[in-house]
Amino acid sequence: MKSNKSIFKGISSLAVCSVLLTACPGGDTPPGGDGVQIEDTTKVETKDSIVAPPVQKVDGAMFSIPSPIQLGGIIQKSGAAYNADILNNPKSSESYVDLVAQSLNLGVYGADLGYCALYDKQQESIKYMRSAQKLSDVLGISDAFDVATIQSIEKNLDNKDSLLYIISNSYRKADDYLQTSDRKHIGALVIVGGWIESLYFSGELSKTNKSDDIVEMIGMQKHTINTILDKMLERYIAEPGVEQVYNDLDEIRMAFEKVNIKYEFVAPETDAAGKVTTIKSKTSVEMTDEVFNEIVEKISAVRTKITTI
Amino acid sequence: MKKFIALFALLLVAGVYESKAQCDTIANYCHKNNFTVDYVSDGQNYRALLFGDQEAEFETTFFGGVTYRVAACTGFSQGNLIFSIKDENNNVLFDSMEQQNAPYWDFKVENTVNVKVSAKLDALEAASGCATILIGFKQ
Repeated sequence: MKSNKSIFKGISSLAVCSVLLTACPGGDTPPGGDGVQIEDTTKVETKDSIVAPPVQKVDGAMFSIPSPIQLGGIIQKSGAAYNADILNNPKSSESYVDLVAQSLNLGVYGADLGYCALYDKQQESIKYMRSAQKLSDVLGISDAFDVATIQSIEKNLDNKDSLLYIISNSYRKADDYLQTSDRKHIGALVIVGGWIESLYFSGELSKTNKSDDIVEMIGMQKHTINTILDKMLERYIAEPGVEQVYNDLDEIRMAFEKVNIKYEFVAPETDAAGKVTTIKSKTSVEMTDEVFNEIVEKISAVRTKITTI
Repeated sequence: MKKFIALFALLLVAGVYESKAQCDTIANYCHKNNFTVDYVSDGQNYRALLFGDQEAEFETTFFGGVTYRVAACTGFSQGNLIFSIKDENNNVLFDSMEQQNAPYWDFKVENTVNVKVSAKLDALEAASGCATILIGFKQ
C-alpha cells in the first residue's frame, strides 16, 4: 500500500510537470515566473453572495496587437494619399545583420507591403515582398513566404482583396511557426516592427491630413502599448536586444499616459440567423495637440532607430 | 496495480503532449474552416493550452466601421471551444454558448472599442485542449 502511495505521488508529480512543460504554447516563461500564471478568480462564498462557478484564468498566454494591414486600412479610409517617401528602403533588407534588426524590419516590411497593397501599388508590392522574403529566409521562417505563396502573390497583384488575404495569412503562418518554436521573442519583435511602422505612417500622414479617425486610432494605441510592454516584451526581456526595444517603447508609453479614454456602454444587437452582433458601445479619445505631436515624434524616433542600418 | 498505474501515467503524459502537438496545426485547420477570402487575418494566432474550467483571455481593439470575424477552435471538430466578448467593464457583448457553441461569429463595430475575448472548453466535449482563437476583419 505504501509503495502504491509513492507511485501515486510520482504520477501526480509527472502530471504536474507535463502540464507545466507544455502549457501556454502561445507564451513563454516570464522572468522569475512559474511558466503558467493561474489567477484563481473563484469567488468566496458568503451568506449574502451568489456563488459563481469556479473559473481559473490562464493569464498572459494570449495578447493582441492590431495588424498593420488593419491600421493601414484606417489610414486609407481617412483619405490620406499614397506616399512612397514614408516607406523603408526595400534594398536595406540585406544590410540588417543582427537578429533583432532582422526581426523588427521583417515587421516593418510587412507593414510596407500591406500599405502598398492597400493602395494598389503593384510594383512596389513586389519589391517589399522580396524584402520580406529575404528576411524571413534569414530568420528561418521561409515557409511564410514559400515559392507557392510568392507565386500566389504575383498572380493576384491586381486583386487587392486576395493579395491582402495572402499577405496577412503569410504573417499569421510566421507567427504560428514562431509561437511553436523556441524563438517566440522573434515573433514578438516582428509584431512590434509592424506596429511601429503603421503608427509611423499615421503620424507622418497626419502632418498633412490630420483626421479624427487617425487621432482616435493613435489614441487607442494606449491600450496596445501596455499589452506590448507588459504582456509581450516583458516575457522575453532576457533575450538579447529585447530590453533595449522595451526601453525605447517605454519612452513612447510615457507620452500615451497623457491620453484620456472614456467608454460608454450601449447594449449590442444580435442577429442569430445572420450570425452577427452589432457592437454599439462608444469610446472617446481625448488628447491635446501637444500630446499627439509628442507621441508622433517619439514613434518617429523609434522607427528611425529600427530602420537605420 | 503498479502496471496499471504506470500505464495510466503514460497515457496522461501522452495526452498532454498530443494536445501540444495539435496546437501546432490547429490554427491552420481553424483558419481553413472558418474564414473566407473576404476576411483578412489580423496576422496572429491566439492560443493557450486549457485544462478543465480554465479560461484564457486577451484584450483587443475593435475599430469602428469594421466587421470582425472571431473563430474559436480546439481539436479538429468544431464547436468545442466556447468564446465570449466582453467590454472593458465586463459587460457581456456576446457569448457563443447562447448560440449553440457557434465556432465563429461576426461583429459589426459601430465605434472603436476595447474588448476582452475569452475562451474556455465545453466541459461536455473536452477535459483539456489547445484553445485557438483567430480574428479576421473586413473594412
